[in-house]
Amino acid sequence: MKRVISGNEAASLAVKLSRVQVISAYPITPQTTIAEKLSELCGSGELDAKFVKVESEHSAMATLIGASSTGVRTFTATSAQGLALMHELLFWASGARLPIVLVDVNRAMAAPWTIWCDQTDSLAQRDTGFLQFYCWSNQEILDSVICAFKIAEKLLLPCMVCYDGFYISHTHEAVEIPEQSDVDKFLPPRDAEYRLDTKDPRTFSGGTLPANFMEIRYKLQKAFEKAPDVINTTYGEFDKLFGRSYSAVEPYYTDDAEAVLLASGSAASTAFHAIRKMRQSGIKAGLLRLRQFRPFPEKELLSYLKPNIKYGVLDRDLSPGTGGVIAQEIRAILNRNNVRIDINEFIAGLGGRDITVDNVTEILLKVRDDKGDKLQINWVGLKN
Amino acid sequence: MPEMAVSESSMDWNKTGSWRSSTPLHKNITPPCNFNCPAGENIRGYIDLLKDKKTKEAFELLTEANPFPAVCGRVCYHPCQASCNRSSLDREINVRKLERFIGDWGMENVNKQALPPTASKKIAIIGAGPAGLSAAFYLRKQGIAVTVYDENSMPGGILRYGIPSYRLEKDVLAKELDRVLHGIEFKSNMRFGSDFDISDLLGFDAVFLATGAHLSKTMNIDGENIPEVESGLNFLKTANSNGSGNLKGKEVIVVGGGNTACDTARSAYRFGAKVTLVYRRTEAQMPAFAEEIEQLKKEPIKIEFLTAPKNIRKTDGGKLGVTFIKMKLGLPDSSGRSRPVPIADSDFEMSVDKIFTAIGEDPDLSFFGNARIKTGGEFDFSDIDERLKARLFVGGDILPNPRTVPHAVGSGRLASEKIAAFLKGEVLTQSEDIEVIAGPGDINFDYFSMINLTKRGSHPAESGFANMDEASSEAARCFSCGVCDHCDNCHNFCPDMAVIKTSNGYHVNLEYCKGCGICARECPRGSLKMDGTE
Amino acid sequence: MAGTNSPGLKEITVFGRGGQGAVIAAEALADAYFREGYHVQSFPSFGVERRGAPVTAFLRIDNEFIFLRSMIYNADIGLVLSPDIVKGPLFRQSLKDNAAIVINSPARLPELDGRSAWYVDATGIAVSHGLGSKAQPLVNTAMLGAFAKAAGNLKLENLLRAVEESVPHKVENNLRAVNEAYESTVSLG
Repeated sequence: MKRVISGNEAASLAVKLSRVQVISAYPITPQTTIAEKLSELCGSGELDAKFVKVESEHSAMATLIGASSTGVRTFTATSAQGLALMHELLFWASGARLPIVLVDVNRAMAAPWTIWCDQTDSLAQRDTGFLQFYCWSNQEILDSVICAFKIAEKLLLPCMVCYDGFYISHTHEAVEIPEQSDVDKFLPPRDAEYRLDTKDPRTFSGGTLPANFMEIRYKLQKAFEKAPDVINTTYGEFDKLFGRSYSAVEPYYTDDAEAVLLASGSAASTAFHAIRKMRQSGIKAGLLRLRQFRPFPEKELLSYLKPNIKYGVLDRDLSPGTGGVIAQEIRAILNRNNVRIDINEFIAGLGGRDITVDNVTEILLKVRDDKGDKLQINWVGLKN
Repeated sequence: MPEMAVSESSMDWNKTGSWRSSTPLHKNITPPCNFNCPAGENIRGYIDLLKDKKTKEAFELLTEANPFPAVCGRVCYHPCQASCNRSSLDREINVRKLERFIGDWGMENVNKQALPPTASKKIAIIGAGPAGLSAAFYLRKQGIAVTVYDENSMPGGILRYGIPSYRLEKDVLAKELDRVLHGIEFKSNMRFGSDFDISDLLGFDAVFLATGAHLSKTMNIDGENIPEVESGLNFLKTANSNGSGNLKGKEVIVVGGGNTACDTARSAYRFGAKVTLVYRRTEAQMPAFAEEIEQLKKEPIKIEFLTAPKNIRKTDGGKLGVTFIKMKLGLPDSSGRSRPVPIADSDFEMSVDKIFTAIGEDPDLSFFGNARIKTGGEFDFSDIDERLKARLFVGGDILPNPRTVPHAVGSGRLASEKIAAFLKGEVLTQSEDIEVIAGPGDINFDYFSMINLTKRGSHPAESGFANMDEASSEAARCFSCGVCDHCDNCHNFCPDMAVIKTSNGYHVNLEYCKGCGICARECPRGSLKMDGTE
Repeated sequence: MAGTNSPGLKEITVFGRGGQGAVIAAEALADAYFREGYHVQSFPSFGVERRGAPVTAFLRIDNEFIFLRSMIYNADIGLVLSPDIVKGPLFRQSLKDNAAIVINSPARLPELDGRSAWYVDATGIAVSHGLGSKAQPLVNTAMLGAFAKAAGNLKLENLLRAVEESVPHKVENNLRAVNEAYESTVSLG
């Protein structure tokens, strides 16, 4: 059934369809309507899950770590400072290999105080051991959350599904809502091999000596290396059942492009619109949409990045002292693979600043006409 | 090798109990309210029952220690409240109102309690005040026949003749006495020595003497014997018996600072007098209960501290001329209070219609042959008739306990226990265990939140709760200090699952208890301590 | 505004004040166009809403999926719930020069400088159907009826079903208000 719903409602419905058993969340703008909707669903009995009220995001994640250890399916959602407050426990969730799914409704990190969108909050959690996906439509949110549970539980890795605050979270558009029975076919109940059980007491993530810690960490890295195959298999199964396919990186109009923009989230969506218009006026622009940030889709990106094309990376984030986070990551894989491609780095849309068709057009023309001066970070629409 | 750091098999083998250096012990300690109750009520116990609206059970538990809940819910000074640990958080539990609620429920719902038939043993009790009647009540409950003698025409003693009706309504007293006296023989207008004597008591297996303290202390000043100078007790008795005592427009002095002085002053004011209370020390040294003093101060009664009468004489106009002298506080005397010292040349005169003295009472034992109280307060049995001596028990205000209703009740009940043991040829032994009292340090205040008491319905201190909900919500504030109420915190918090629930409490599995002490730390009420010995 | 079956991308801005239901109006309109077979996208002006403060809500419709996710700066249609907003600079800056305007006013507004617009007395209609209070009439559903008349590409039946789904109470009254507004909306050139 297709219905016009908001991005946050799409996330909530996906949680319900995934038959999550324990939810713990603390409300924060722009995530709030997820926490509200889920507590309503739990309250009315439509969703047979325990909603644990907590006094902070830190406690929400701690609650889920405990709950997930018992083998149940768990979910939380947050934004910005809330995600930052969870920080230390994010490491614990991945180290303990708990398949917790977290929705981060992207919001800029204060100060100064802001409730509007950018992606610094989730990108700053890149070393915590969470898989990270970025959505550009409400349909994709619903599908990604359902897939996230399957991927997370196969890999024993926690998973973060991210989308832009307000630009997507509060936008209503038509979403195909799958039948519960179909989702049940796709996503069976979680079957945890090890679970916290008072009748069969085990030690979980107890003090680990130097002799063993590295091996545990190595296994974590190996799980991330295995992730692309598991993710692709999952997308394949999803496509078969629901007729919608996803991948880590999506190329649009890249084959014959002179200038390609690499972007994610709502900025990629608007860029797509802008590029189609540019194509109509004969400008050979293209788009690489980054859907997945962890594991960083090295193989996929390398297959699309061509030395004869000029690239711009749009970062709706900032790592002060270096620049855009995604640009850094792209440079790292290019370097590691001895690929000589210059990229232009653009910082745009911080703190909810609108990214318009004009912005995208200006960026791509700049990339196309670039004469080789790559060192400077381009700030889009910066006022003097 | 698993993906995460997890033990491959059960950890049951790891008997963490071997690490233990201290052991948790579930052991109830005494709540301060219970400890401080002169009547020995299980206050925490009946409050716990009221939380669940079990008023009948609460009434039964309360009357195991005190047959007079409706009376004490009005006139007791409630030292339980003064010691309540909840006052460290917001405000003490209003035990007075809870007790009154239970008592009032009893008046409405309990007429005649079922009693066992009487066996051959018979007891005589002299004095139908709170001590005598408490002893009578508990002895009769055990199937012992009881005859109570009193010199007055009605039972109740100080409750009827000493306490003014504005503090204790006569119908409340009547109803409660009716229930207490059920199954007990009451002989009125029987003064020992004049209306009956030792020969009448010889047929009894034991005798309990509880005639109270009705002899007013004298001031030892000139003019004390003028008829217009009367004891406060006497005035209260007359006023309480026939409601007479018209003092309209009369100027009255009340001398003293105890409860009798307060009652006398407030009663005289109610009979229309212009009252001045004079006390030779200051408010801080007044022996009256704080509540009484507060109530007194709310009345239009003049209070002169550091003032004592020096002499009294009749003047021509029929009035009394009184010379007073001002005092100052000197070094402490034997009572521990500062001794009042007269200030030279500070005399002043007053002209009044009546003087009531209320500077203390002594027991009047003149009727009882050679009976007397030894220095130090013990009853001297040495000169008592040999035929009575071995089976005579004494209690209530005769003994120098604090002379309060709950003390009298407690003394009466203790006498009943001693007598019951005596009848079996035994001597009552009292536990020598040192009672451990739960103080604020035993309470984990994190588990209790402040309640905005100003938002709750406000009732005058003198009234009771309007309904069961009000009473149970007040009861719900109780911490249950020192007494386990099965909150399961110890069970829930134990990281080794070593605190196991049993049918009536908890059992600690010492194989796994590693003595971390989390259970004791999370016990909200101090009924679990890390001091168990193995 | 001439109706067309293939509008391409159309952008609509709803102008109101906090408490008038501008956001719900945009959502209901999105639902109505969705029922009509269009791709839709509605969103509020992001941030904090206060009663009485100017509020805008947005709607895009198209024959294909709408990828454009920026704010709307040059709307094709302006739906004006609160006529005093016409005086402010926000209003003129947010619309195309030839934008259609649907306005809650019983009479021609001089501030429009003779520009043609669709007029409806939504306040009067809302009050007569007991929607909101006299001081705070809930005009959004009546304005949707007027919009349907002006737009021409939206079946009244689809709008009524969308309104039925989106109003929390007084459903019948709201539907009657939609109908009455639809009938009474006039274009004044």
